[in-house]
Amino acid sequence: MSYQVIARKWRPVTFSEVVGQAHVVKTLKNAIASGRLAHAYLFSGPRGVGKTTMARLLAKALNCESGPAPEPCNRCSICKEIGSGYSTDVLEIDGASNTQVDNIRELRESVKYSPGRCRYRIYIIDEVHMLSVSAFNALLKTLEEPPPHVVFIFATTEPHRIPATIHSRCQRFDFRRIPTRVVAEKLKEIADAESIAIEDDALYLMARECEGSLRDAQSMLDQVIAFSGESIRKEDVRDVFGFMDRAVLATLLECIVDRDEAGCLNVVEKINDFGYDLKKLLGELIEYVRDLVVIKVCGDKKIVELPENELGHLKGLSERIETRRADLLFSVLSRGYEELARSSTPRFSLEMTLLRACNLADLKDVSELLRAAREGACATEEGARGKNPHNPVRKAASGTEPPSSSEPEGIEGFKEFVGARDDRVYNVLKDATVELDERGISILTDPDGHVMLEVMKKKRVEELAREYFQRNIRIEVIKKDDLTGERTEKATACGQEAEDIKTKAVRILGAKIIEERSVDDA
Amino acid sequence: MRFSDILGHKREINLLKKGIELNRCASTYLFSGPEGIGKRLVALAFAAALNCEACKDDACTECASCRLIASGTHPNLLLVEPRGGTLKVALVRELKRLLNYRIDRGRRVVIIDGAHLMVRATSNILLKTLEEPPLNTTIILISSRPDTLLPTILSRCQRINFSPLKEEAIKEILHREGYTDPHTADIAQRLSCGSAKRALTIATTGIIEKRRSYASILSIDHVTATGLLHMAEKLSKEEGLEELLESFKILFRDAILWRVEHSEQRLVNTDMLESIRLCPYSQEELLGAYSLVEKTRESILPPSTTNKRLAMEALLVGLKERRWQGFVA
Repeated sequence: MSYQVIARKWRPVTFSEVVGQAHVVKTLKNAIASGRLAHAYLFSGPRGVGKTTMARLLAKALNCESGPAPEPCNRCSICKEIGSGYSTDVLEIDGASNTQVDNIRELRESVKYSPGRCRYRIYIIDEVHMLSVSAFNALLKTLEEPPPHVVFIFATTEPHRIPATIHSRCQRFDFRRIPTRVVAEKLKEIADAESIAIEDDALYLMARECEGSLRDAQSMLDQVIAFSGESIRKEDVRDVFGFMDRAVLATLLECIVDRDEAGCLNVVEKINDFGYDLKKLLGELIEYVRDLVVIKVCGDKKIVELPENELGHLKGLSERIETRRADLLFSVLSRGYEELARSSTPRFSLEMTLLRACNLADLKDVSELLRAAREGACATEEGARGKNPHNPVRKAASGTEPPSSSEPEGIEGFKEFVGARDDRVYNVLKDATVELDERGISILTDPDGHVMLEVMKKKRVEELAREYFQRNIRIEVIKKDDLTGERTEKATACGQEAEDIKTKAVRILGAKIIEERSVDDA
Repeated sequence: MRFSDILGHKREINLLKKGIELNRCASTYLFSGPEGIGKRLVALAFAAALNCEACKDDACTECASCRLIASGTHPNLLLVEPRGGTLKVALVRELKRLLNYRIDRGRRVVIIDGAHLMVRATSNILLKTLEEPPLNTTIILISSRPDTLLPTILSRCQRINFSPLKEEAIKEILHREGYTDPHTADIAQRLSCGSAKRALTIATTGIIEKRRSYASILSIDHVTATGLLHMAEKLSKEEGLEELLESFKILFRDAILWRVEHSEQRLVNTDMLESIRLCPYSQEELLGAYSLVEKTRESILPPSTTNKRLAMEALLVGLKERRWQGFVA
């Protein structure tokens, strides 16, 4: 007798052996017990969770000599026949190979004959999503009112490809992914029965990797057993599947966050020599970055499913990276992933992607550039202003004079005006450095004031400014620690240059200015 | 073909041998890994080993069965290959028909090469067969793009990931094929990224010399406009242009690495060190250049019918004018 793989050998023969699909089992059992059978069932769900198995079980349970019983006996000749696939009354049809309308017509012809030995004639159509549209349509009438001795069971991984008219004629059961713990327990059970000693860690490693598909996990177990015989350690699992130590990912992400380019290259070289799948590495890294962003944004650890030590590490990293950069990191890596999938030189592709990711820090934010441009521009255009009496001219002719000290009257007037109208805004304004130029008002304030103005009162300030200056004025709130002393110099000295940066940014990036915004947390 | 004749892939072969030894061979395998590293050779050797009359875990090359496998006429060996770029449904239907027959002795091995070239219907037709193949049959799918396979296919296979070949293995293969010059072999091996097939293409098409003649791509600022157009014309007429562009990418990659590390250790184009060192671009610009070359390379890959000369002109002018738009997001 040749060897049979675990997934086939351990295919459940009773409902109680099926794991992770309690909702389906319970419904079907009750339906059989109470005699409320539907004439068509549709089983859908991801691969390897038990759809075909359940279809065969249902067929057995309905036809069992001692039935219809909520649990097939597996002893009677009918159960045995169905189990070995020889029954003439339970027809398992491969939907993918028999897609044509002619196949369905044939099936329809055979529907009217009553079963030979069994109680029901059962048609199991697996991979039913592959039937052609006309094949589905040919089935409709039969499916709506089949003879009493016929039961249809459809199984598919892609229920969305099945016409609504078919859906509405079937009882649909959605099979679920099997939780990691349950998969691990099942694997343990199998290993025990096959008298194989296996470490719990090894089991969990496989159970995690299988994405809720028991068959995937069973295939893995098979492969590990074939490799290491009767005693299996965690390292064996790693060796066979080339699972990478998660610590490598942590190192890699740390290198990127710290812009350690040589470090990244080292990691790539090591992984490449080890023979690990680079595409998978990048995929995992992307997930890791996603976790990082989630932690950064929400701070809530519960959304991220990671072991405690990795969480701690990510938490630490998240403090060293700004949200915007983490966000950009994600898109750079995702783009790199696509490139890597197509590349014939994956290693180099990965290297470039990682270097690009490291270099992200050096990229200037467009809105930051724009702000620099705006601040700079003020120095060159002072002559154009002063037409409006409410729009005071700033005497910033000499480059050394800080702009905030110029022309206090207009601003002071505005402050007083605000003081009379809105206490809360005034409290912030009176301590802040406020400047006015032809583009609008910029308010330089401490973080608290920033939150107050930017988030809560911006509209109000705009209204007040409009009232006072008799025109629309843009308000920009700048947090104090955003800017250093050099700002003042920059603003006055490099007006034209900054304007150039803006035009250049627009040209180089092929950008279009849709909205100008201040930078709040860069 | 014997396991012991195959260079490299010790881990992978070991996995298969253990399976034979313990009588736990799976009924479906997926051999995945980059192109041109010998996945199919291993599959053939596996088929030979499973059917050999003399030995157990390797082929003997002398018994009748091994000779039949070597000549490709063994009734137990079914080889399915794509025709015209895809694996068509008819081919797999025929395969399924053949699988209905019982086999006389040994173990039937079906090798489906280029599994990622199966159209959707083909993949689906295979599902039931992969899940429960006939008695004494092993199906081996081979693919360099396993990520494009259906998850339902992946879940039915035992997957064996093949690593790129090691340096020595590729040099040995080049040597066997008659490329005995150690210098050529060294560069070809470095350019190949662990793929024997690529190393051989590089060695046969003379990419190494051609690439050197285009060294000015690294300092394209010094090339005049007319020079650029001439270069583009010459480039567009080159045989193996894709491979050449690939080597340009690697040149830029080297220039970047030089800027990062200032060491030769990880560089590929060790024969062009001078040009790499003198390359005037900044690191950021080089990353842009790399992307631009990659984009161009993709745009001329079949089935695209881009005018190669225009593409080359656009590439060179783009490099000179630093026209890589927003290479970040």
